[in-house]
Amino acid sequence: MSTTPRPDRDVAADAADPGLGRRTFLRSAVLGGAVLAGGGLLEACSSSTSSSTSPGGNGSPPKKGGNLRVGLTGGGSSDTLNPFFGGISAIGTARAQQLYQPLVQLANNAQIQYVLAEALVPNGSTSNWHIKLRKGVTFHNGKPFGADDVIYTLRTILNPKKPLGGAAVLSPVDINGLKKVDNLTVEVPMKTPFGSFPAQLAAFWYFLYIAPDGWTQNDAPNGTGPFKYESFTAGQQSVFVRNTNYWKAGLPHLDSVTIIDFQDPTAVQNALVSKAIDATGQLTGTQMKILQNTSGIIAVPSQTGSIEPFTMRTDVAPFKDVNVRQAFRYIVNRPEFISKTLDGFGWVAHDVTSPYDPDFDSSLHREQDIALARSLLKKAGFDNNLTVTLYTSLAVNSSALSMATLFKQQASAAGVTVNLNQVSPSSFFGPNYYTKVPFSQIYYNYSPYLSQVAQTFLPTSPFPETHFNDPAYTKLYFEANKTLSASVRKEIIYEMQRIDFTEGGYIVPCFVDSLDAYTSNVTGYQKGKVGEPLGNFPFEDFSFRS
Amino acid sequence: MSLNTAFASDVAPPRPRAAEPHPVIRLVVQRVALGVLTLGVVSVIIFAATVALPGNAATAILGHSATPAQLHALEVQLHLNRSVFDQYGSWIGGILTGHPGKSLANGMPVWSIVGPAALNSAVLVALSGVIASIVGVTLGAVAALRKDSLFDHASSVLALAVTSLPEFVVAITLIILFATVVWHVLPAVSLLAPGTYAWANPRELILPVATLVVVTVPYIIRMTRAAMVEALASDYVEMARLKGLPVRRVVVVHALPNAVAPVVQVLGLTFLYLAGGIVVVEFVFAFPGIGQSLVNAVTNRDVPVIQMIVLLLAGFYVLVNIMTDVVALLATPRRRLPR
Repeated sequence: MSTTPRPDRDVAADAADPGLGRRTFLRSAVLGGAVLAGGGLLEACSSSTSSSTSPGGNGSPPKKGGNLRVGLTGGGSSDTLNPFFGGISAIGTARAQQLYQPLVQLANNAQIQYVLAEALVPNGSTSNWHIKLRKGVTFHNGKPFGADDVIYTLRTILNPKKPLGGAAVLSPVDINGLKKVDNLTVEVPMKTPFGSFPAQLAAFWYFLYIAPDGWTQNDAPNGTGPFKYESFTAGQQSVFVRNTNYWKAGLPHLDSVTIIDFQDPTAVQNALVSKAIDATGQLTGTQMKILQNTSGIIAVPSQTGSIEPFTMRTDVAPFKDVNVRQAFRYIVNRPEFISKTLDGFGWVAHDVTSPYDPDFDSSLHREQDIALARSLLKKAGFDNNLTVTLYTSLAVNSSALSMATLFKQQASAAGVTVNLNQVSPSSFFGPNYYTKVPFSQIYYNYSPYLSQVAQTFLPTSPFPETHFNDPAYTKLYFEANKTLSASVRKEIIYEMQRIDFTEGGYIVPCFVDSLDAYTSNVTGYQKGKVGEPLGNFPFEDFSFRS
Repeated sequence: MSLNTAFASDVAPPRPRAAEPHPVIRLVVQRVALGVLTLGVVSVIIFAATVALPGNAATAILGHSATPAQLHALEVQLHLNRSVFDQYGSWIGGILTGHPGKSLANGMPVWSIVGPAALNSAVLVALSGVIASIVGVTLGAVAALRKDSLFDHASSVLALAVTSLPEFVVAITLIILFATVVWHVLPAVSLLAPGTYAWANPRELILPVATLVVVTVPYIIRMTRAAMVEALASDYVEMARLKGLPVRRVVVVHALPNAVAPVVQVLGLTFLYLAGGIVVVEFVFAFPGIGQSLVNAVTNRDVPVIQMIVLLLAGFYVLVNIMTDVVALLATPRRRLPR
């Protein structure tokens, strides 16, 4: 049996893990060393990525060759290899991560890491940026990567006639002013100061994969990633083969990666146990416990910053009244959410997002307080007579229904009646639910704080579940973008998080672990804090034991 | 059945009128006409049902990333903004002219999605159906011949017990036994690389076929046994026995032909059941067949693909019904006579 023990959640364990600990990052951020204007710690990604040293510990280099078979659910016949839609689902991200690469991304430790960019340099007022690009990178068809490709990609995403996902968040970018300084430098003028540019680029996977200049969806997939396109059948499987011209020397180890679609999570588990696949993610807590006790399988929970919040619309009754919102937050018994809905695979959150952001305020704490919740509700005019409907859906996550049910139970203690309305997965994100209903649920992978805010809490956000529109808060967001001083920004972000904590529309009971498993023959796996399965699919580092 | 009727065909029947077509041909013509009508009705119902479902292909494709502007653009691109009658009209026109259209989900021709899946499912249904028929009819006949023996009672009880198990229970039990927990001898999932077909991967077929056989055989055994018991208890079989004919001749020549009609009906029902039952089995084994495509298409609100698959399944139902009726008619001479 070869199970990996669960990470402890306490600070001592984090401190004992100097490479990846949250504490360590907070500390290093405070010390101010590596903090860049974007609110993140940019780590150079050297060409000999570290990661691939043999976890066996015998020091021998990883074996070359082999076909890694990865099984995942959530795909379907509408899936595509279009880089601009790469990250809609986990399985879409799994494919896109092999073919394409972004300028920057969130590394496994949830900090910003350079990939195709070598530096992002702002001017003094963050209203103009220079993107310095990596040298010696070629696309799969042999075309050298350069400034034109970055300009083309940004223009495609931000095309005012047909804006793609992410356009709203990148809206300060002035596409008419994009300028090729030289082959490896792009000048990006901003309409308003945009200090969080690197964080925004890194947060959402799908809008920043770089497509070659002039690429359209009728062309063959052509990226700079570690694997090249070989075949793809939507809803069934895709095969990618080693990119022999990959810019990271010695990588990838594998000959090919086969990503296989499953519809039934139990079938994935059976496939792994019978070795029909080599690795999978997105497991449930129950599956995790079974696989941890299965010989030949390594099952690993990773602590992440992913959230599964309840969303309250702050512009309609009854949540328009901040007392009701705060009462609902005090209703929640957070540890119970982790034990009952996640089988223990999560850690407590306190309604504020982005725990790995260097500017995350970890002093904001809240525990269940039914008496306080009742008195807040009374202040709002409700005395055992508040009834709300919670719109839940499996489209949110596999644990959404159990979370909704548990909230309903906990709310009854405070005299609140919660009716559950389960919406079918294919209509939840349609025009009538999600951001429209007063009380619902949603799921996000980890994002740095300012990019989470840009996605959800501003009047211009593309996903305004809470319809939060606090002029003071919005003003703080723009101020945080103006400054280059880490300490000033930290102060501003602390103030924003305090507003989240006392007035916001999210109830975040816990951060949700990412649950992965692979056969003991596979090496190179790393835990990831971002929330994508299998540490965000860095299959270039994977190999098979000899 | 009486002695008289058993010999009825030997007595010169009233000659059919010359203008009257053969009863079998008449039945086939009638049934085909009704079948086409049925398919038309089915297509309308399915279209109405998919339109009535909440959400559409655009919301299903865009998921969480959907912004109102993107949704609208995609709806226009997929022609989802046209009227329902318009959409149905252009679809049915396409089907009648042999152009079932393109998938809303990925723009591929519908047939390129449905065709390979339908072939895989056909292999699954045909194999399971043939094996289940042979095993079921044999065991049922043996049980009837040895009525009230230990074998008869044991097979009856076992058949009854297995009939009450849903497919997925049988499937998961087989997986636990042969693939994941007890023995690791067979693949737990039937992963076929796109472009390869089920018959090229016989190992991947074993557990799905076994599941379907286990689920359908008990019913065939019970019905065959009942039909055979009835035939064996009949006057003409008693007569044959009294004449001193050998047992084999009694069974094969006198009893079996009279049990064929009900058994064929049962086998027909079995094939129909299989055509529906594969949805669950394909799901559990991740078998790339028509059931999985249908689930996928419904999730994506991919109306042209849903329509094509449902039409295929409905067509299969109609065809099997006609075939069983024809065989039953041929096997029952009495019914061929004009009334």
